[in-house]
Parts: sequence; C-alpha cells; structure tokens
Amino acid sequence: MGNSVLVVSGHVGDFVWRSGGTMAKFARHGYEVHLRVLTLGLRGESNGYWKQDDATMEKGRALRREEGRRAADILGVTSLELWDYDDYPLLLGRERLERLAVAIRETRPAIILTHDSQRDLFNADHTLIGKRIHEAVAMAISPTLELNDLPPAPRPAIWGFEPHIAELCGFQPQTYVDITDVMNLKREAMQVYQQTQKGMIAPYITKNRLRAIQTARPGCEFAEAFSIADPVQNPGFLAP
Amino acid sequence: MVGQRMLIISAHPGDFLRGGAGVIRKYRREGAAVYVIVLSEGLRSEGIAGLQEARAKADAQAAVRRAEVMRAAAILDIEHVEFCGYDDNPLEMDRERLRSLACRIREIHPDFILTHDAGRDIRNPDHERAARAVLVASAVASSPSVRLDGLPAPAASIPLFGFEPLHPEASAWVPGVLVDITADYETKELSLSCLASERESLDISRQQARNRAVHCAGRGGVSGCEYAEAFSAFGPICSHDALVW
Repeated sequence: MGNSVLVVSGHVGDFVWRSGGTMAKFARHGYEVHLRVLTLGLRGESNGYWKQDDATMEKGRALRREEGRRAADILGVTSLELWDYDDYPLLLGRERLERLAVAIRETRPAIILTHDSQRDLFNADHTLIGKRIHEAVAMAISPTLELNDLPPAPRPAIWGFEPHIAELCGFQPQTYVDITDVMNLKREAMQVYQQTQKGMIAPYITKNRLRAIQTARPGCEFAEAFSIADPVQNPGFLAP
Repeated sequence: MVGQRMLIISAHPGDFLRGGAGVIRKYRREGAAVYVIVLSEGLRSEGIAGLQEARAKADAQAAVRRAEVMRAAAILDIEHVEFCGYDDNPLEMDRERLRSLACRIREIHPDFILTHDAGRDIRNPDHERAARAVLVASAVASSPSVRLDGLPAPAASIPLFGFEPLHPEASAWVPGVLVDITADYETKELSLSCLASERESLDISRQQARNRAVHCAGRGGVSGCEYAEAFSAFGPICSHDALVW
C-alpha cells in the first residue's frame, strides 16, 4: 500500500483544527499529504473577517486562499487544491462527486481524512461531506468506471474529523493520534487564521489536551481524535 | 407458499443471487410466483477485471450480463425477469424511475419484496440508493389516493426484507429473519456460478451461508440447518393473523 493520505476539508479552516497535527505527523513520517478544500468558508466560517468595515467577498476570498496556502505549507502538505465552491450550504452533485473521485485516483491514499459521517448538529456542510464521501470512493475504486483515463484507486480507509461538540453529533473517538511532537507546527498553522477564525484557536488546543489525557500515555500532551468510518488498509503505524 | 407472490428488486445482478437465491428457489419449489427486477447490469460496480478491455463496448457487456442472469434464473426456475438498464455507480433513481417502479409494484402486486436494506452501506452506495427508491416507490404504490395509470393500490403495505450485504459489518444491516436453505444451497451455487463476477467469491458466499446456519440452528433451534440466508426486516408487517414463526 502506498504512503499517501488525502484530506478532504469542507471549509478552509477545518483541516487545521481537526487534523493539523495528524497531517504534520504523516508528513514528518514521509507520507504524501494531499489536501482538497471544498470551500473557503466565506459565508459561514469567516465571522472574524466580516466584522471589518471594509470587508468584501473579493478581498475575503483572497485572504482565505492565502490563509489556506500558508497553513498547508506549515503542515508540510504535498499538494493543495482550493476548489472554492459556495459554502453554507455546500452542494454536492454528480460533477463534484466525480471530481472527488478523480482526486482519490490521482492521490491513491491509504486513508481519507474528512468529516465524520454522522449528522453534525451545527454544520450541514460537514454532514454532507461525511455522509457522501463513500460515494466518491465507490467511483474511484471501480475498475470499469472511466475517469480521466486514471486507473482505479485501491480502497482507502476513511477516518472522520472530530466535530465541534462531539456528544451532540454522535461522534465517538475510535483512534487517537499523539501530536505532541508536532504541536508547534499545528499552533503556527492555527495562528495563520487570526483575522478570520481567531476564536477557534484556544478551544482546539483545549480539546487536544483533553484527548491527550484520554490516551493515558505518558508524554502525550496533545492528541487528535478520529472516528473510523471504514478501517480497511489502516497503515498500522498509527494504531495503538 | 402456493399463491404467494414474491418480488425481488436488485440494484445489480449479483446482489439478489448472493442475497436470496436460496430463498427464491425454496419459494419457487413450493409454488410461489417470483418476479425479479434488476435495476442495472452493474457494469461499474461488480468489479470484473476482464471488463477493462471491453470498456469501449459497454452495450455488449450489458448483454453478456443479462444473458448470465437469464441462465441463473433458469436454474432457479424464475419465470419473470426484467432489466431496467440504468447506469450504476452512481445509480440515479429520479422521479420518473420511481414512478415507473411504483407502477410495476402495483402491476405485480407482490405479497412481499426482497431488496436492499435501507441502512448505510459504506462499501456500496448503490444499495442504499436502491433501497431508498424501493421505500419510496412502495409507499407511493401502497397509497390508495395516488393515481397511477388506473392501477389499483394494494390492500395493505408491503413487507420489505433486506439482503445481507457482502460486508455486513461495514453497513447498518442487522439480521431480522433467517431462512434455512440447506435443501437449495447447491442450486444457489450453480446459479451464482453463471455470473463471471461471482465465481471468485463463491467461497465467501459459502462461509456466510454456513455462518448464518450456525445462528439458525443454534439459537434458532432449526435442526439440520447447514446453510441459511439472512435478511433484515425493515418494512411494515401490518397484516398477519399470527406472529410469524
């Protein structure tokens, strides 16, 4: 199995809060970390930015793109694509699912990291992606479905991001990743979002401390938790 | 089971054979009328390595699969098989197709329907799509106030049973009813062998059938059961003059 992971992030900040440490860890261990960002979160997740008097969609777009690029760079991302669809609500029709399937074939990931597959009470966009990613996987792995002349991808595992309030969304952590040794990188990436999502930084550090305590591992100070929607072909080295 | 009318609605050709060939054969032997609707030929789902060469000739491959299904049907003595010819992966059941399915349900007026379970199937989203379509079409067909080409609505809601998927743990399917198919297992395997896509996984089917037999025989008290098929029971069983045993 190859050494590649694919992160599918609904909004441009999500991948940092929910998987920034894990991404940095994969990159440090020699994995290709591919990132596809579906929206810039301009409508729903840029509250900090819209408080500015001179805020406009155009300038907001440029700002969020820049944030995404810088954060991805800090975490060691191999390839980044910002698809910039409208958010709140995000729509996923046939064409967009096929684009996801193409991304899976291009990157051949061992694991897809994306939103949890249960209903996120606070976020319909996350719910949509979590509930439909397996449709893109089904297309990507089919040996007889034509997609840009790309060979079919092997079936990846699918892990789900922790949502904002786990208990209200039915999220159950099924695997933990110790991100203590890359927390400096995650902090740096989070700081990139000062203008747009500053309020997310402290809560997610707290959350990472809480998850670390739950691992009961000496030396683990920060951890990210994921659900496992489909465990196949887990690469093994991150398993407990 | 004489006089019983069974309708099977299958997303792809392999699904109904893998999930219900034993039960189908059992009901046929005992005099039931069996109708099968195959929504797609499964060209993009039932991964057949050999099809790569034939990708340009989808029509020819569809014909090959239909012929395979007809051979399997002959072995099981199924008299009524129809193909919708929809594309699969993704299977798109729009309003028109739902209406068409509702009409067929009224025309066939089955006593019960075997189809895909309505819960999430992470390995095969076409199964969820088919199940949702059957739920909708069945509800529409069963509603007396819906006018459908002059076809009469059934007197009662139609019970629905869901095939066991290939990877049951990767889905929301739970076994609700188990049926002893020991007497029909050999015939089931013969019918499955008609499909090139199924020949590689006969072992898996056999193990699953033996696994369910353990449940059937052990906890179910069905002695002599060596092979069983399991179904979820997710449709309403509203009219029966006894709890089913």
